Amino acid sequence: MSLAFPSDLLQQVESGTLSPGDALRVYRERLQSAEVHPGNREVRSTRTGATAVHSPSRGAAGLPAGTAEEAEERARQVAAIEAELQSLVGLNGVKRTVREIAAMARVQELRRQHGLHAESMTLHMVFTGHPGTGKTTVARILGRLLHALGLLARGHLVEVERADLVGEYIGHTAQRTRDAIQRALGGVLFIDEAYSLARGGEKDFGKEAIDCLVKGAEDHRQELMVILAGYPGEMEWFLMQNPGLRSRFPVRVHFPDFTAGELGRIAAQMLQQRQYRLSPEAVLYLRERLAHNTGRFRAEAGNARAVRNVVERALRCQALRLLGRPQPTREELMLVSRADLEEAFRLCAR
Amino acid sequence: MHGRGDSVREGLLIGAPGAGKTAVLDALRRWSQAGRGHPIRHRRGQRAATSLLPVHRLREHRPEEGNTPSSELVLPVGGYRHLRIWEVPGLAEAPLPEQPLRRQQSRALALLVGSALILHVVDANRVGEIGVEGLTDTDRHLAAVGLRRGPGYALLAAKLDRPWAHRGVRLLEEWFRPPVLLPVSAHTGLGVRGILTFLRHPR
Repeated sequence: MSLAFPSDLLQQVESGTLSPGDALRVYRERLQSAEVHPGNREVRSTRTGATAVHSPSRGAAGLPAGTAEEAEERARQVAAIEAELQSLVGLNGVKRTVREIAAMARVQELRRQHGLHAESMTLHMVFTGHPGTGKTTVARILGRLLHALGLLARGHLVEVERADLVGEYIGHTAQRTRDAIQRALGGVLFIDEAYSLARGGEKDFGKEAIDCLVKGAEDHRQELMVILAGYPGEMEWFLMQNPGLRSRFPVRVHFPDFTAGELGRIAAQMLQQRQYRLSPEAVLYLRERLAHNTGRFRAEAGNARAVRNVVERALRCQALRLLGRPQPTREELMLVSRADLEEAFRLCAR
Repeated sequence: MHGRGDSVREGLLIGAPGAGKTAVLDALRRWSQAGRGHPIRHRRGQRAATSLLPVHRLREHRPEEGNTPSSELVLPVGGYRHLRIWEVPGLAEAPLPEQPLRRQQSRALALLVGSALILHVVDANRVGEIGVEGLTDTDRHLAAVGLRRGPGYALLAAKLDRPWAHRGVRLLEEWFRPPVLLPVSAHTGLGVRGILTFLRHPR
């Protein structure tokens, strides 16, 4: 079976919201799906490749009712955002949880359409994991996904930390926390290192921020997703500090440290994004370094962020190396050598 | 140029960045019995030193045409039939910052379905040397889409003159079992004749 390449994917590739690789993957999935359920699909195709694939029997992907065009547009957005999530290296458990949430939202909407009782969803979550494991990235994607699914009005992300919420005098904290909630309405309020709110002791204004957050999260549970994020151990302790926190933040998502292999793939992806590639010797060297120095990159060391620092340093080392040559070729401009990588590791270790 | 009534089919030279597409296109031009004609240009404006093109045509698309940077090579494939081979920028696994390049990639994806032939270029040396990591996810998806379509898809195992390439060819054969696998060295010309045969008589 041959489908013209979907125009929505082509547009997203052109606008830079979807990589060609992801577009191919989504296209491949749609081909498979069209083969499995040929009766459910209608394929419009033109000579230029403009295509629309939709199910004629119901609204696109079970999304909130609107015009057919709106539903189709939403389905396109959902597919693109899901593809973006899938393109993240590793995080299989996280991806699974996000898929569950998205599936739940769709099914509840379908139940509503069939006159069945539909559960109202509490979106608030706790993200645990070390730095650089993708918590903020996934929060941003999740906000957009829930917006595309019609659960959040805007889907934007407001990222705050203790200093943004806790004030300096009585009444100041409540005002700042309420302001943060107001800014995040319709989207995601992401509180990084949330446990630090409870660290100042009994007289600290952090407690006031927590109380205000709990109330705001409850009052706006249909309009806002609050994500409390931080290290796993500290977050467990934090959730014990306020009896309302556990029940109001029912979804827990753990972001594990990346394995050496995943860190290698992240490095390769970062390089490819910038139109660079590693020489085979550099690939072997990177693999070796990551396998033998996993601790340097995982846990508190920064995971993907630590790898990004090495990659960026290696690019600067490559630039320095090429500067001495009169006319570097296209291949040379793309290639990061083992020596560049060795130098980058050495400099980053300082 | 083509006369009235000529039939022109589209072929697509596609693959990940750095796979060797430009070199393969250049080799096709050099080895397809090109005689005297117009000097041609490489992609990105580099002038090819001694290349001449009489009946074939290689054209660089300029930014003002909204199609930069890609190249097309038109080959006669028998009678009045011609094949226009498009070489497009490598399909990276992440969106590129430059809009014209993204437009070309989008166009390449559209052509992926509409083209009569797809030449999927993979760096066999890289695959041979580092194994499965030498393939990008884009390569895997491209191969899956190409193999699903059946006739008209060929996997080109490029850089055959490099030390690990033969192992790479074996691995590609083992992983994908493509109906048409064409090992090629753009540098020595080994395998170019096989590609030209495939272009004239695709299967």
